[in-house]
Amino acid sequence: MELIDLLIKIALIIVIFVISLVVAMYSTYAERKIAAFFQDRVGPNRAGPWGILQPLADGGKMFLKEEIIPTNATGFLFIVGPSLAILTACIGSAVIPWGQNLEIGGRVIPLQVTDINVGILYIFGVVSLGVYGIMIGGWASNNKYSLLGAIRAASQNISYEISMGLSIIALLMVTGTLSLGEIAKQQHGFWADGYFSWNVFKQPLGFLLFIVCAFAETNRSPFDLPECETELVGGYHTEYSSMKLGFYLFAEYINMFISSAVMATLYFGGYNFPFMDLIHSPNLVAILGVVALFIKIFMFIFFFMWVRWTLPRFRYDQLMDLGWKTLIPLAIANIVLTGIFMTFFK
Amino acid sequence: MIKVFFYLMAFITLASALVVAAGKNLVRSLFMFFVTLFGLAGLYVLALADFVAVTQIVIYVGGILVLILFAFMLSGKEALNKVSVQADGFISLKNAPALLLAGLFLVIMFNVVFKAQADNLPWVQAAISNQNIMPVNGTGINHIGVNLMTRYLLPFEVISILLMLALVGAAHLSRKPKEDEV
Amino acid sequence: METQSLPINYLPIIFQMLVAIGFVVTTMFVTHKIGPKRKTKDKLTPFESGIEVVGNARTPASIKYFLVAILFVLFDVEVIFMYPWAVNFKDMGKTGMIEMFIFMATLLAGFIYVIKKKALDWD
Repeated sequence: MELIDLLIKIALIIVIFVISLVVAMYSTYAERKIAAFFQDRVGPNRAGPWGILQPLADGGKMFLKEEIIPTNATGFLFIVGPSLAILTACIGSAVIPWGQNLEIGGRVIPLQVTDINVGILYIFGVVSLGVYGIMIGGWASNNKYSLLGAIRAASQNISYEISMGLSIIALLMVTGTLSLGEIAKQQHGFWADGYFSWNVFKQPLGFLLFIVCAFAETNRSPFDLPECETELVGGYHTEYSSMKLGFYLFAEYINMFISSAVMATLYFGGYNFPFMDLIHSPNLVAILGVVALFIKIFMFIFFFMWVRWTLPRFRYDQLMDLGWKTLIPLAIANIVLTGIFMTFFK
Repeated sequence: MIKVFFYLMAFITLASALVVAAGKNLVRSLFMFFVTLFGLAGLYVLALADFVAVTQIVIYVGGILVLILFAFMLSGKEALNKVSVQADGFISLKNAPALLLAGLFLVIMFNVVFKAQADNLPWVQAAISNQNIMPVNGTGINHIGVNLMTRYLLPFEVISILLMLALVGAAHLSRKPKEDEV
Repeated sequence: METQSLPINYLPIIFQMLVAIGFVVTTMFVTHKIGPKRKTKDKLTPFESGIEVVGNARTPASIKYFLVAILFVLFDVEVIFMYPWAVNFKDMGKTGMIEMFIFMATLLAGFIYVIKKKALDWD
């Protein structure tokens, strides 16, 4: 790898990092505005026009607050917990293809940090690391609510990870590759060979399973039991304050952003958009592709919020029953059906 | 370049593994084990086995270590204190069986390493003559899949039985004793 | 397949981790330095809905959670075994499918046993 390529890569990594932070920040604003709309309120409107500076004010406040480490807590792990939570949230974006290759001055610039050929497994691995931040933080707090919240959250995460893995397997049978760049390429345009090219039309049940699992993995309502305030005060982050609490909350929004991007890439064509073949300039297609991907991502984020302010929370036994007794059998049935269909009808 | 990374990863793995084995603090051992597993994954990547590397992360870090952490978190403080306070040192009578086993294993390992001709292993030769080799730029996962479904089919199905037995065992162990059984 | 995964492809991931770690460490350090510090004994006790702390938080919890973790590891292994098969599914056709269905059926039998034993019932 030449030096200039390396520098471009580093620039891309930093740009994506900053974008995911900004999107996460403004997701909090969007969430409050959307909640306000759903509940017939105005939402934040004091900081700047339409309250547009509210996330900055929130962030600044988090930054300047006193940090409290309870005397009973295990000091080192108390700090490691939120750090791990946000670290695992931040590294997932490395394998997502954000757009087609750009060509500037004869130099091809891929809009993907790295296209390893086990891309999906990498995402799966990062997801499986997500449970550490919660578990370590909850245990280190040495608080009953925190520990209970952490154990609940960890059980929930690992239960839904299995259905997530199984739903991805059905998708892999269709795509035949683990590389996310390759999968995005396969869904070129919108219509190919007399059928929709996006995977959601080939794997509707798989997508449904995946999105349910994504809700559970990001601890979003209706699966937000780890922090259900009626039973557990604040769940695993009861004892946290200042930026450490900020990291936990932030990690949730970054996870939401990344999982929206993964869903858009795996099932909704990634950077592909209808009629992309009609545009002849490759760079224009690449840029429009990035825009298309972000539109899809924002739709998913909106959907996350819409569900949060619409559905009530599950009870814990219902949650476990749904995960183990409904989603796993459904996911296995989906694999079997996909296998039979692909062998005998094609 | 790759050599530097190799030695770096090997150092991380070995050093953290040493802390895991010798450390007296249970929490620190667990945390270091986390690092060890990542170092191992790095070594796998350097050996061009990226599928194995990611599998290592998913199963060991995302599965086994979570299980250990669960066991750790779910036990009460009294039980933990009993485990974490090891009054005697690294070499003591209590550790004798473990040391014996580890020593024997070391002897076997040395034997294997010195007796085997690493350049001329029969199974490697057989694989080469069967064209069952993976080019450096090939995709490992396709190769693994094909071999798993043809050459190593029997072990593969045996694994499923093993996993089933483990499932049954887990369910059996955690069952509630019936009223009349107690 | 023209995509190839050499160790160099993993270098950007290490960079990304370093960027993330740098961000986390800096933020942690800065907030630690600039935040006010007015610690009192009451402030540093664990939160327990306003009453005095009773006992220790680290008490044994239900074995159910542990069972979930064990089952998770087993299924995780199963899922990982299915990845190489799923990627090659198109090439292997009917034989591969039947072989995998046997694998899955064996595990499903175990899973049905677990459910029948009511090991996953929360009450």
